[in-house]
Formats: sequence, structure tokens, C-alpha cells
Amino acid sequence: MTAAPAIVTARDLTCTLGGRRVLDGVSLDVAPGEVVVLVGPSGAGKTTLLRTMNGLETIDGGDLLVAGEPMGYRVDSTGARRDLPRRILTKRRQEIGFVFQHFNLFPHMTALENVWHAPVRVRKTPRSIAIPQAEALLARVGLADKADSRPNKLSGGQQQRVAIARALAMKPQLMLFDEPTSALDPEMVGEVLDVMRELAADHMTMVVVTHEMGFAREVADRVVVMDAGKVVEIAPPAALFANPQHVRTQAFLSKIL
Amino acid sequence: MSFDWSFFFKNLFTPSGPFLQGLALTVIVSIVAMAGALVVGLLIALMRRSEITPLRVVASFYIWLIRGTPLLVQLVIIYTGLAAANVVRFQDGEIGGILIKAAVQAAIVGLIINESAYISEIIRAGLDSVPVGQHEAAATLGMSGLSAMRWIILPQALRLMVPPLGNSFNGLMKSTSILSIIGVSEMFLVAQSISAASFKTFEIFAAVALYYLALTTIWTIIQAMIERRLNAAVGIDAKVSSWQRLFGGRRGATLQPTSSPIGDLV
Repeated sequence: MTAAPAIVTARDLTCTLGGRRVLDGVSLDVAPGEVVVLVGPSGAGKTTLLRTMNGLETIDGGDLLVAGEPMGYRVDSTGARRDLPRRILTKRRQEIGFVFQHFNLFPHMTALENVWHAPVRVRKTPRSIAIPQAEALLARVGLADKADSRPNKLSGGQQQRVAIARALAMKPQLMLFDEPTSALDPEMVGEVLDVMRELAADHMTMVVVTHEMGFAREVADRVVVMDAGKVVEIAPPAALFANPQHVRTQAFLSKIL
Repeated sequence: MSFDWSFFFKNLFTPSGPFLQGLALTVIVSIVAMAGALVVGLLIALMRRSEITPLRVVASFYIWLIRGTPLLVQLVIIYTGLAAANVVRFQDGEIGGILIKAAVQAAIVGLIINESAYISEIIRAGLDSVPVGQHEAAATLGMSGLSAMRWIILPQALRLMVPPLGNSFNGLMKSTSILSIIGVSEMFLVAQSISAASFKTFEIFAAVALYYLALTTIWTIIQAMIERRLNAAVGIDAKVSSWQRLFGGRRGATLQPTSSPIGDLV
């Protein structure tokens, strides 16, 4: 499983937010091309774990390497942990796509502008290259005809697909999804999961927080069950759903399946 | 009541050269001061949001000091006080061949300082109103703080900042009448000298009031146009007609701003 060097290596992560220990000794490796789905009851720390992977939250203990580099912190010559300078953090984030529960599209831009904006402003890609690439990405998520629409004229499912295209435009090595379908009406969940399925089929490395057990069962290489800031079980979906080992996994699955 | 209508209409419709120059000075000083105050105000607002504590302290102190003292006192200190103490003495100077009197320079500096304190608070509130998800989305795309501010946060905040900023400009145009105290020959001071020479105080200041009203009315119409354009840019189809803005409409009423620089003088 760990033949190729991992894209994400987490060892004994701890993270405290607002005085509460949200991550309490989490370890997890994500191999290139792997799809890892994080599940668990709310408050388990799934979203926080995902957010530490691109520095939206900073860990306060353990080691977190993303593409071989510490994420959100650095270790100085005396071995002490320091905040990562903003400039370096900004640079590292360019390699990691993030898809939010509430899309967070830029409302003052069209769908197409949302997608080409970061390549042009951040990577300094000429527009003559970035715009056709953005059009191709919108076509890939099935929204070629919505290129000139503003986010408020799009349905939730369409907005989330634009958000995925926007993240892909930076050609990331790793895509992080934070409950990408939780804010959607039920009839729109499928169109977003379809796009994610295709990404997985293209061997994109993905870490996905979701309550969609069907997606986990079908697409995930491994499912990580979290509870109370800890990883309670990691297993391929077939094994996990058929034969959960941990009592808390059994309790969680019995509630949602 | 004695009201010299012909004198009133003469001054209203065929104002004298000095009066027109005073009107022009009022408009120019207002626009230059507002432009400067926007730049300084943005700077102060960004300092107040900075992670660097000394910057935040300096910005807060500036706002506290400027908002807590009257414009009139500030102007006299800047123009007369600093010269008397041999700190800074404004000199007549030329920019692009146009003579700019010392008092006008001091007036512009004073108005910029005064207005920027209020504007920085408007800008700060506008920036704070942009949801945190927008900051996070920009950050996850690898945008630097400055780039995110320029392309993501400011354009969205601007829409919410324009109504209170417009009110500031409205107040600023009227505040220029205070500049007469340091000898800037804007509209008010010219009217005062006409009044002193003719004793027709009511007539001349009635005409002056109508000129101020005309200026602020024109601005109200321009502001409504700017708001429509900014709303359209984010796809919001909010129809605030100039007519509604001038004579009331529920939406216009809710957008009434709060702070006025002239408030300190009353």
C-alpha cells in the first residue's frame, strides 16, 4: 500500500480549537492516486483534519507532511515548532485544491472568471492559455453553457461543480473535499458525485469528508472512521461496511445505514 | 419682510466671477480631499486589520484622535498653529502651472486627515462584511493576502461601502464652508464678502444654500448610478432610482448612513 511516497503523512496530530482538543493523536497516510474518505459522527474532527492538510487550521502537535513538506508550520534549527511564513504557506497551497461545503465561489465573477482567475493571478498564466483551459474544465464538469453565468444564477449543484473546476484549474497534486454535497438539495447530489467519480477514475489523489456512504463504498480505496478526535478504524470500504471491527464504527454505521 | 428678489435672482442665475471661482474651489477641494481620504482611509483600515500590533495601535490612536476633535480645531492647528510653532508653514505653490494657495493646501490636508478617520471605519466595516469563506477560498487557491484583498475582498466590500462613503462625500462638500475660517475663498467666504458689501445677507445666503443643494443633489444622482453599476456587477438587480434616492423609497431609507464629519462642529 505504501510503496510510493505518500502525498500526505500525518503522525500523532493534535489540534486544539477554542480550548477543545479537536484532533487527538491522528495518524494517516495518503498515497498518490488514492481516494480516502473520512466518515464519522459530527464533531469527530473530520473537517478539522482536512483543513490542517492545507493550513486552514494549524496543528499544535505531531507531524504533518504534505508532498514531503511540513504543512502550516516549520521546525527551526533548535527543533522548535514555528508558524510557517505566510509566503511559503501560500506557495504550498497552490498544489492543493480545496472544495468547500458552501462552495465559496466569488460572487462578483462569472463561472468562467472564477475558474481562470487563480491561474492568471497566481501562476501568471497568460489569459490566452488560461481561458481555454478554464473553458475545457467547465466542459469537463458539464457546465460549458454556464460559462458566463454568475454564481447566484446557478443551482447549488452547478455552483459546486464550478468550485471543483476552479480548484482543478491550479492543477493540484491533491484535492480536499469538505462535505461537498451536504449543502445541496438531494436531487443535485448525484451530479457532484459524478464529477468526483470521474476525478477518482483519472487517478486524482483525493481526501473526502462526506456522509455519502454510497460514494464511499463505490469510490474510496480506504475509509477512515473518526470519532472524538481519533481515528478508530481504517479499512477498504468492502471490508469496513461488511465487517466493521471497532464497536464505535458499528455504532456509527448502524445509525446511518 | 424685505427680500430683494432681483438681487437674489441675479446672484442665483448670473453669479459674479469670484462667486463662480468660489464654487469651483468648493468642488475641486471636495473631490481632491475625498480622493486623498479614500487612499489614507484604506491604509488606516488595513493597518487596523494588520497582524502587526504596533500598526493596529497607531491606526486606532489616529482614529481616536481625529474623530475626537472638531474639524475646525484641526484646520486651525494645521494652518495657523503649526506655522506659529515653526513646525510646518504652508507656502503658495504651483502644480502644473496652477497656483495653489497655502490655505488651500492646508485645507486639503486638513480635510483628508479628518475624513480619512471616518472613511477608515467605513472601509473596515465593509471589509469585515465579506464572509470568511471568501478569504478561505482565495487562500486555498494560493492567493497572497494582498492579491486576495485586491481581487476578491475589496470588489465585494465596495458595494456595501458606497452608500456610507457617498454620505461622507456629501458631508465633506458641505464641510468645505468651514474652510472660510482659514481664508480659503470657497463659496461661503465669497458669499460672506458679498453680504458684507451689500447688506443683503438673506438673499445671498439663500442663493448659496441653493448652490450647496444643487451640488449634493447632483452627487446623490451620481451615487445612485454607481450603486446600480456595482450591484449589477455582482448580479444583484436592485433598482434604486435617483428619484427614489432623492425623495424616499424604502430601500433608499435603509441605506442612510450614520456618521457625518460636520457632526463634530454642531
